[in-house]
Amino acid sequence: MTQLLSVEGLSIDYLTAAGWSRAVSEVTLEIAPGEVFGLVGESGSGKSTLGLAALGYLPANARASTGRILVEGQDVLALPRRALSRLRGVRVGFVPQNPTTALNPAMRAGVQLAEGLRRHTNLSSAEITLRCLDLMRDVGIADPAGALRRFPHQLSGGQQQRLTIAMALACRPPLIVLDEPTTGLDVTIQRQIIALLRDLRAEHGVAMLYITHDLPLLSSIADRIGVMHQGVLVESGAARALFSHPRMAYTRELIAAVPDPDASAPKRPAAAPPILTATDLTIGYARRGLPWARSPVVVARDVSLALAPDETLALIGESGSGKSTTARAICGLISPLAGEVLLEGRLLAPRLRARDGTDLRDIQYIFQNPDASLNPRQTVAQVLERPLAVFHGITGPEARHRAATALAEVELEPAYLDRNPAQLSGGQRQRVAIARALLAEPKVLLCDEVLSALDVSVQARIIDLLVRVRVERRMAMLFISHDLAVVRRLADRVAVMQAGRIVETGPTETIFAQPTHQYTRTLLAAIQRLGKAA
Amino acid sequence: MSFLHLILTRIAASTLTLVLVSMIIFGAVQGLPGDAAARILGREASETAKDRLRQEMNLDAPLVRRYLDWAGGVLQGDLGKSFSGQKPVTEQLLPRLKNTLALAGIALLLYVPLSILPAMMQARHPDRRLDRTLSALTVLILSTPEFLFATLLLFGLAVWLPLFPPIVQLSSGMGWGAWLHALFLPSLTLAILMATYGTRLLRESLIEILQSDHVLLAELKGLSESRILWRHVLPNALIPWMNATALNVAFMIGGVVVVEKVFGFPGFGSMLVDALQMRDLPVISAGVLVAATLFVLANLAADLGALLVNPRLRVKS
Amino acid sequence: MTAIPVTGRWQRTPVAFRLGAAMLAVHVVLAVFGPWIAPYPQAMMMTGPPVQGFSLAHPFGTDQLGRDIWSRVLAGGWIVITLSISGTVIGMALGAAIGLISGTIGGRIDEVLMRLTEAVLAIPFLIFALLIVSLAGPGLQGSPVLLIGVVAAVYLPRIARMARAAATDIVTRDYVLAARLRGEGTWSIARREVLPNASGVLLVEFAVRAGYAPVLIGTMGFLGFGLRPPTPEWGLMMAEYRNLMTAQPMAVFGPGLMLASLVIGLGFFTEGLSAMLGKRGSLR
Repeated sequence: MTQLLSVEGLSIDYLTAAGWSRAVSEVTLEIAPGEVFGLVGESGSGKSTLGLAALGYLPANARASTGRILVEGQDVLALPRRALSRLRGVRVGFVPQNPTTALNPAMRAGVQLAEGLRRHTNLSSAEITLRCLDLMRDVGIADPAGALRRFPHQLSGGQQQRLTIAMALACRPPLIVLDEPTTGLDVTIQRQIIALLRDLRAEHGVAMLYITHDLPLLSSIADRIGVMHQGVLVESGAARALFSHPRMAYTRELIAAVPDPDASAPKRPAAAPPILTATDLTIGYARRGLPWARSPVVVARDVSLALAPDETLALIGESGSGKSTTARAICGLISPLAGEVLLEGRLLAPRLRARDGTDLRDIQYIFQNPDASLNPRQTVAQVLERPLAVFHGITGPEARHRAATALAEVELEPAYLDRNPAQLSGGQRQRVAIARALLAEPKVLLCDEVLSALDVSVQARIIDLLVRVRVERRMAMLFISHDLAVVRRLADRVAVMQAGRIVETGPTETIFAQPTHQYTRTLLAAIQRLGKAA
Repeated sequence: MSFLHLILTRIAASTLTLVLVSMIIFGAVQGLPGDAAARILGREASETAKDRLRQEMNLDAPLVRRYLDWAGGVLQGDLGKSFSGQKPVTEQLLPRLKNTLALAGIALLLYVPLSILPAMMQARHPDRRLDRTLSALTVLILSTPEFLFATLLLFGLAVWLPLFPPIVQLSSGMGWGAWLHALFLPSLTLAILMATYGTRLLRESLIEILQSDHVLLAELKGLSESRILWRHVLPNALIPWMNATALNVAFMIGGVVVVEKVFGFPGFGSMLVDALQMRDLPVISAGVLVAATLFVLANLAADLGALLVNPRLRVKS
Repeated sequence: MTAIPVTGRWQRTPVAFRLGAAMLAVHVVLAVFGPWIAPYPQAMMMTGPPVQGFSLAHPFGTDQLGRDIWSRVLAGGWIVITLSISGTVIGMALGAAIGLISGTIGGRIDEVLMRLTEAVLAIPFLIFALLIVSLAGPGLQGSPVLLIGVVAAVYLPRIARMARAAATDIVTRDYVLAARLRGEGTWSIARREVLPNASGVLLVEFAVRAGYAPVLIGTMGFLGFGLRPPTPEWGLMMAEYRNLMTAQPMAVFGPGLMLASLVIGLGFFTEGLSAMLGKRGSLR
């Protein structure tokens, strides 16, 4: 028996209102000591359910209907509670997806790290303290003693995730299950965490079951990869072989949907004079509090942008760098503290209320999350007919006809007109949001992270749609994203933002080939490429 | 914003609320349009009686001036003289308030275990028989009007099974034991009435937290069930419970009126009801202001308590 | 994939909802047809021996004047339900309108309005209710109109605060920002975007408040601030019959049972309703 973990024909069902539905379907896989197995799949593919089962955990409304799951030869789903608590943390560790919700907000980091050791070992409290400090150093936290005294909310997202990794490693388990451990984190921090995991593996020889939806990321850490789709393990094999010779159609689709960071948009001749310019925008939010303490928090400073007609400008940077804030100031949702926005040479009022119908119509904004940007209590027809009434005075049957045409433009059937947003998939909702923006017949489209709430395969189709309508309608587009591969594919020019300032602007090719600013180089270095170790 | 800043902001907001409350009370009692004297005494009252009242209330002076006089007096501890007894309101109010605070204090002590223990028992195995029974009992008590519930307890534990006196009589020469014995039944009534709300809310937040990511992680770390329950679940569930407790204390200030009336308790609530019945305006103004002050203080205490318990609130706002 | 079992809408509602609806239906039937069901006219004296307990002729017994308590209780249902519903409807309409618009506008007006609401809410609601009755003067005391006004006045600031909280949450959603970007006015946003999304919360709030209104009216009657005798209002009857408690407990518990079962029915109904809407309706 050399396998550390072996899953044998395991099926897991969930009890739903409609009866038992299968989440994991007859999955068989094995992980050897010291091996990193990457499990990839889109949301709802059953990969997290499988990962939790490796710790003998099934949600209250789930059952294992066939097969078993063995850790060091022990059938963990059959273990009684007492034996399970000796398995968890000791033989199998767990790193959660979102450390912000997975850490107890009311308990100091040190207590949370130590409690596993106190439960599972006979160490004295002095020894435990020393061990905790060692662990914190192992996971690369600069001030271990200080961090142990803090509450989780006083740690950064990266530090929180390092803490949960330290917790998983505390009792030196031979296997850890990682459930999307870098999903909520910025790319540069993602890269650091992956590097840390590689180091830990080299040092301790710990085996990992690494669960993610991010295929390119796995190429830099996994020895073998399994692809899950609708509960079925459709394909598994050595990482390199899987990338170079995928056998199953779904795997090929998944690989094809990953934007290639080295492919770029066709070059177009230099553009005409800009349609939209933003000059020296300084943007801040008023702080709540006592009257004398109400100084605004400045989020972006001296931001200048120019957007030519028929051009795509990408605005990139990490979360909190001020990208969205800039777009919101351009469309008027936030009044900038200083600076001005010109559209076709006319000055736009800073306040939304002071802008006229033409100003509002010409700039359309598409939000990040279509779940939130469509009113759940309206039908698609109501959503689409409203801009027609407001901007073009079209109502009644003519409006409905135009709405149907707009749906066709975003590749949806007219039958969707009478549905609610809740009856649509995420991708379909984002199409409706795009159609709503198009019905205003704008000259400038602001796209704020419009892909980040969607699955990879859906993302690819939305990108195609956006590129097509932009070219057909000859609109200018400001495309905000943190995904550099996507940006390289559709942007003509790129502006890089860091901590509220634009640090570098230039044609896409130049930025990717010869970044001049240090920060841009860091961002570019963090890109994961399929089948190549980073 | 710093911790101190937060505290100062809350205190400033509470003070502002109290100033507004005092204006509303005074405005309502004295500033309503029409002949105040006729409204208070009834249209059939004699002209001389009305004139005397107008003089007593100084109705000829402008409203703002009268408010400032009254508010100034309140700040110096002078709540005016009552119409009925012609005694200073404070003399009448303070002993009654002391009785009520004792009643409320005992009720609060009983409330804590009465609300936490059933919720813990329920949340451990939701939707089992014990949970359902306790839930049904909670809904039953919640739906029973307070005066009916109090009457039931009185009937059961003082009349049918005479464990406690049916009418609460307090005298200065009373020993501790007799005093507690007299206060117990009304306190228990108040405590149960409050605990039903607390239990329901705590049960829900316990169940919610039991399903949270950090409890799942604690379980996946192989911790013991009792450690998960007492260290990971309860402290986080107590944060909303503390807010509910503040609401409960606020409710108690109103509910005490009913309970005192049912048990014939010589407290602040029954005094206020009598004053309202006799339209004794100085006592009414003072009594309502005291009730509102207690309410605001209870909420302030809960806010500050939440700041102390919940480390997240301390740093960011 | 299993097909969703085809059943009626009624069967899919929570048990609590069905139970509550059934209890309410019984109460409404009793309230409407009470005068025909009642064995005696409610005010008729000496229908039997005074202060008598349960008998087939008098299920809830008789009072000091020999009035049949069951007949009086039946006559009271209509009064309690009408007063509760009309007071709650008025408080709801005004409170929701003020709260939703205040929350949608935001800014200074909202802040001032909510400070005032906060101040009114600092007066415990029962004391506030008694204060209104007391200040209305002897001329109005005991009139049903005043009682409706009291229920509305007690609920108005509470509902306004709740509606405002819902609105301030909703206006931060992206679909409201999208409406702002179309240049829609406050009124249009409040009506098209905010109200439809707040309606679930408002509905639950209405049910909760309507459920407590009979208790409030009863408590006022019990304390002598509600309707006047000989109106057969349940709370008032319980206060009147308190001295009969040892001799004829049914005189107190009969009306109490009716009041409690009405409130419990409404409570179950609300709980089922909020479960269906996926929102938790706290009772306070």
